[in-house]
Amino acid sequence: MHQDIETQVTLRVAELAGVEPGEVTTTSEFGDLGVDSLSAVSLIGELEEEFGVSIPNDEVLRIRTVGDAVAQLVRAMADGGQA
Amino acid sequence: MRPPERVVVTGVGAVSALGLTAHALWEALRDGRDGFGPIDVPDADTLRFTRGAQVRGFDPALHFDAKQLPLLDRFTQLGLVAAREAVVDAGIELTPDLRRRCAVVTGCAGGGVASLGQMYSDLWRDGRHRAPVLTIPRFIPNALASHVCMEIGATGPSFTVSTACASSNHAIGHAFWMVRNRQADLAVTGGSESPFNIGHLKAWEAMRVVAGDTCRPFSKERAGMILGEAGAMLVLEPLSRARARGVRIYAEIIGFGMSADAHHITQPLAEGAARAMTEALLDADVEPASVGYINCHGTGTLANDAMETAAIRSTFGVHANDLAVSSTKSMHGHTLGAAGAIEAVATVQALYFGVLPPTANYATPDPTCDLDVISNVARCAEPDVALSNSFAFGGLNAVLAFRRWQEGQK
Repeated sequence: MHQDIETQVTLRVAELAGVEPGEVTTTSEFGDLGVDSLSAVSLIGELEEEFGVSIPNDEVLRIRTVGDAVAQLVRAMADGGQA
Repeated sequence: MRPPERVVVTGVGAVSALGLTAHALWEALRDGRDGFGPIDVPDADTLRFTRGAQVRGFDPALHFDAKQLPLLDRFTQLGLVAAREAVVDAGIELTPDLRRRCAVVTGCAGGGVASLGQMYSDLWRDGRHRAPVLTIPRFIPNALASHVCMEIGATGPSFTVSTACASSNHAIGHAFWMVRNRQADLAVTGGSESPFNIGHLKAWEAMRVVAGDTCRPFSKERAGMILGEAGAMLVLEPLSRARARGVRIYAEIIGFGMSADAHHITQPLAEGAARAMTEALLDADVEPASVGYINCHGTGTLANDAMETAAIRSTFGVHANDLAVSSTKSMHGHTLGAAGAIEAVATVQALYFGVLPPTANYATPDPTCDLDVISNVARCAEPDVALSNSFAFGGLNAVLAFRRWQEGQK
């Protein structure tokens, strides 16, 4: 499941950043990909909706990399929808 | 050309989570008491945040008759009651000449969002085919200015400014300039906002800037704003008339500065905020060192408070260490388009009473907000000049400068 989430997040980030999925790794920072914090927050909101989970504000604001986003989504799903 | 007028504040009115009058607002600010409570709107349990600064105990039927009430969204009700209070407080007789020369300028970020929400709910949830008939006259953001004009018979230059959270600072600033430049002989100015509709609140939730527990501006633990509703109004008039009438002067309004960040639709920029403060000081023709208090924008978000600290440091240099700051949003909440107005009322009250309101809920100092934050307990002080800052989403900044008025002063 972790791998599925990672793949989906990577694809979505690549789409948002306008780069090839191969250029996005878990250590890619949103800022380095040209995705500003408002766009990142917006994307994470969409992913929450798609995965049916809720991530607290302070956790979302700490997300810097694709890997951070994946980790938060995985944790939220493990907690049964509420991180 | 005749010389510009000096302009003073002779009346204030406020309806907020801290009470239904400007005096109630002041008592709570002075005591460092916040007005936050559980959000009382239908479906509030679907929100991530639970607390808001709603006006409680406000019975519209006590203020408006059955004919007028259906025309008024809550934001207009709150503003209109505040305007009545301000005009009564100023004790001014609105002669026909004065009415023709009276400006009404208000700020509002969202307009009648509850009326829009009701319409969408009627159409899309309840399957109705018609919108409530009065949706448009209730929604229009200029409804407050228009109703104030109608109520007091003001027929001078009147309009509404919408610059998100800076709306009413832009409104008050332009009203001030019109009185100073003799385009108006009197101004009733301020703003109002009522964001407590579930759809609108969900939009704020999505922005992730609203705190889950409370609003702690400039504290290390700060986690966002608490949304508030309010109406707040001021009466501005030439010093010459205020003196001739022999009325109370809360403070002199001496400067207004504006700037645009031209940077980002939500991320603030310290350079833009600093330029607005500098412009206000230039407009007021005062030295930065004369400023002893800043009623900060101080939303309690990570980004704003650190940015505002940097902007104050860049504007004032070493004097930044010698001026006191607070965010009264920690008590009346972030009232969005009414923020500048309620904070202008708070600022002139602070100057008038010689008491600087604190930042409530302040916990641990944050190195990125290393100013002299008045924490939790009000401070007695008589600064010569105070600023009131408003910085909007969209990077449009507006700063007002006020001078303490002393009886017998020239």
